[in-house]
Amino acid sequence: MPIDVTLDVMLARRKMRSKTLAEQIGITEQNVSLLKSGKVKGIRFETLARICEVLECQPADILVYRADGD
Amino acid sequence: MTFSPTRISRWLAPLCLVLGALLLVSNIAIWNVPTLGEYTARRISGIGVDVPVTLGSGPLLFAMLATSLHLLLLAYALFHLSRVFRVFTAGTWFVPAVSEGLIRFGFALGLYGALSPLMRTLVTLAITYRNGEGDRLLAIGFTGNDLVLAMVGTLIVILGYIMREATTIADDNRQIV
Repeated sequence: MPIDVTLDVMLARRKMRSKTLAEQIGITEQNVSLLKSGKVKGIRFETLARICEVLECQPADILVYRADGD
Repeated sequence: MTFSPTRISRWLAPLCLVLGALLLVSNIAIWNVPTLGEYTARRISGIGVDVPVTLGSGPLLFAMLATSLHLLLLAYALFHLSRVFRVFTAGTWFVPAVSEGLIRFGFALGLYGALSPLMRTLVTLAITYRNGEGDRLLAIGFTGNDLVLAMVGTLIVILGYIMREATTIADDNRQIV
């Protein structure tokens, strides 16, 4: 998948724990963990919007496209 | 009272198994009693009491085998239906066991309906084969039930394939957060 999820970097910048994020955006901690590790097939716009709202960032801050596709 | 698929499935799963077993056992029992065998054979083949039939251990055994093989298809269908109900009991719908079970159930049910005319032909042949010349019968014919069973079976197979697609989509959705 040429899309990298850099949610863990943003969480570190905001000094927020996965559990707190999960509570605030209304998904399970397990799903946040899967999202951080990139082991998901997709992310809903709704979830993305809530993450951006809570972390005060843009989608590009947590999703990065790699041209090589590795 | 609300309709609960899980609750009704809990009852239907064992019922299907019992029904399948009863069909086979009762069929074997029927052919072991000559009077019952004759009555059943006349009902299956649709020949009246005015037509003579010659029953012996051979024709009865042949009729029993033909009807048992035919009913085995129905028992197989019921076995898979029972498995589908058992999955529903757990409250899960979009799993491969459901789609595969529906495909097998529908296929067996459709085949049961499609082969019914052949079974009736074989039973008619079995009970009249030992009649004198001119009294032997070969009956071939479809009934509305045969066609409906074949159609419903085909429909269930198609629904099974649709459920297979739905299961794949549901699986994809589970991986979208």
